[in-house]
Amino acid sequence: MNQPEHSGTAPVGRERKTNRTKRIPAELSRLEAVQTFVEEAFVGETVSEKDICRLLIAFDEIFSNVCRYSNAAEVTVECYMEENKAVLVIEDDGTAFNPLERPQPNVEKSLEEREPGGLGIYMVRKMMDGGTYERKGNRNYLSMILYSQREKQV
Amino acid sequence: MQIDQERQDKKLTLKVSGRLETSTAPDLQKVIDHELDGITELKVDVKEMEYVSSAGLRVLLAATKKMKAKGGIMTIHHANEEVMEVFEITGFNEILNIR
Repeated sequence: MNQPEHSGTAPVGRERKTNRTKRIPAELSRLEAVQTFVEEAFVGETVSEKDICRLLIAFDEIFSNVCRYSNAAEVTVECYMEENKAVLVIEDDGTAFNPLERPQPNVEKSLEEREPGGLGIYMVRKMMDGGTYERKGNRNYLSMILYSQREKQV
Repeated sequence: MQIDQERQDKKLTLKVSGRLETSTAPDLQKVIDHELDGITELKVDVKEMEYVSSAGLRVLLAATKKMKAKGGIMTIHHANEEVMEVFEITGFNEILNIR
């Protein structure tokens, strides 16, 4: 659970990993640095490499959407493990927007009919095992979860 | 992400390694915009690609359309499981020429 970061006995890095939060300006130029942060938060946990890729894709899609369309000034990213789930929470102070309720794009269109865009959020919904959205005050809270591989095989 | 180019007459092979996503997709777009003159066959080798996000799909779609429009072809080679998963979810496995 939430232990102090500077506990002298247990390995410090481990505790900090359990629940890591980062607050950043909603600017695309920050994307890469925050992805490194997300990756480091989950490496070494019971999250497969493949699932780390999925989490990084999800972060790319949601964060870039927030930066481009939401008028948010700030984004807070939280990464934590809860039992056998990896949880990635993205919080922003932009326009109310629930990505989980977006209509699904038609993914059966031909090459000629395909237009760029609209696929990112759809990918996130398909790749994550679950998610919740909440609007609290003037902030969006999107929480995405992935069960660890072991859990999925049961 | 890294892009290595190999050119042979009208054939261009791009070896794209690493992550093709929002922060790196513009680099691939630049190659597509500037290096396709006289090319009729574009091979994109993604063997060393870790994953692709929708920003990367956008560039692959534009490149496929561009090659088709000029009577050529773009093919994608050696996609790993993560990359294939994204192609399948989005239906891109049907519209890109995956070899």
